[in-house]
Amino acid sequence: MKSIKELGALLGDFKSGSIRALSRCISLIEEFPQDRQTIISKLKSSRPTPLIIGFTGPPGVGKSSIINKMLFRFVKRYKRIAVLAFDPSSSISHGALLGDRIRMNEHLDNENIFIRSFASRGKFGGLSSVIYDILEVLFSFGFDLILIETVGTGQNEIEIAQVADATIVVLDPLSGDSIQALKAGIMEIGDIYAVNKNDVVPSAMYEKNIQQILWDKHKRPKIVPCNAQSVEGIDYLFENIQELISEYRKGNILVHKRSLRYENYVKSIVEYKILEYYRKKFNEYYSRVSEKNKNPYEITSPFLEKHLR
Amino acid sequence: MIRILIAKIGLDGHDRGAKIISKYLRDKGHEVVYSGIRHTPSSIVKIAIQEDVDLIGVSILSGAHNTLIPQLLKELKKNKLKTPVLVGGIIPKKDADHLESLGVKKVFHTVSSLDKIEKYLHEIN
Repeated sequence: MKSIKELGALLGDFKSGSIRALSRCISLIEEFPQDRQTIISKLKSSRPTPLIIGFTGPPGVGKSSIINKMLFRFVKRYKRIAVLAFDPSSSISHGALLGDRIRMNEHLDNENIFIRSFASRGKFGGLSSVIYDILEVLFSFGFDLILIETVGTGQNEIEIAQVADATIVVLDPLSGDSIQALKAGIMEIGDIYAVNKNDVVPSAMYEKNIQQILWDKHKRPKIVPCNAQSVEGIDYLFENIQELISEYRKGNILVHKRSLRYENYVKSIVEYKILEYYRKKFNEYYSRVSEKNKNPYEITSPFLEKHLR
Repeated sequence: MIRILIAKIGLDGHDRGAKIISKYLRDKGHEVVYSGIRHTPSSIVKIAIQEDVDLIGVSILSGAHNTLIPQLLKELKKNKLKTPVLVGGIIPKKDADHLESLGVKKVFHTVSSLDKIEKYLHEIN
């Protein structure tokens, strides 16, 4: 209830556009999972849904640096922009080092750009379990564009594709041969593939390698060589993103993507609650099990039979 | 878990201490926003607002602490922010006393133990 009381005091400022109130509301969502429903409904306003663009890819490939350069271009087209930057939480200490925004310090003087760092807090998938609720808060506040940077991903963290209207997969020219591009996961979800750091190694060979895998009869995602340091190719990447978005608007793909996002949001709430409920139940059950060197199935099946019938 | 901003202020690129502190706090289960070098008082306050941190840790080894830290405190006040500020670096004793009298929660010197610093964070949070 502490959170609801604080929310009451923040509400006026939030509605009049205070960044500090927005920032505090995001923290309330993170800190008080049980109050999320109330927080979201109190903040709710009927503003048009902003565009959401995701940036994903392996650690150190240049996602933050590319976003930094893209921001200079996006500000000319979108008024209010939010950047959500995710970094991993430690599975050992649960702590996190949030170091994405360090690449975006150039935008601190622009009051229309809001940057917030998030730790993944035990969630696998490249984002955090709060993502959908945080987006609701941002929608109510009134942004025109939201950029999401995932944690540095491996092959299997593809949640961003279910959240964003368009996903940019950032790679570098040393991200592997065509076999790597053949594998399921991250190489399936890009609407655009940006090959960064093309000054370190010539990227033409890499582009060709992934193109022969990524391109087929139905889909020809753009592969864009670029360099976030020299800004070479950044304008071209920006143009490609703009083209993609207008294509998605015309072809009703945005509408489709957004209904998928809504579906995933709904499901994530249920999954979270069910998991919490049964995890607690099972931990109680497990603490009562005395013989812990039995075959694991002998321990788990009475529990599962009781609850999954 | 405490949410902490670690920042370097002014013309000072010596960030090894700031990185060591950041890593230690991460390993103790805190969420650390590391903002990097060459920040102004106002840019630190802007980040603190956007990130809604519980604490601000400023590292400074350039000798300009008597100029920059009071400016930071003023900027926080201007924004009606009560976030505690801790300062670490090469700060002579009499300057440290002075900064603490102005409102810095505590000044840590280069010989301070990481463990003591982390324990202190719990005391004030």
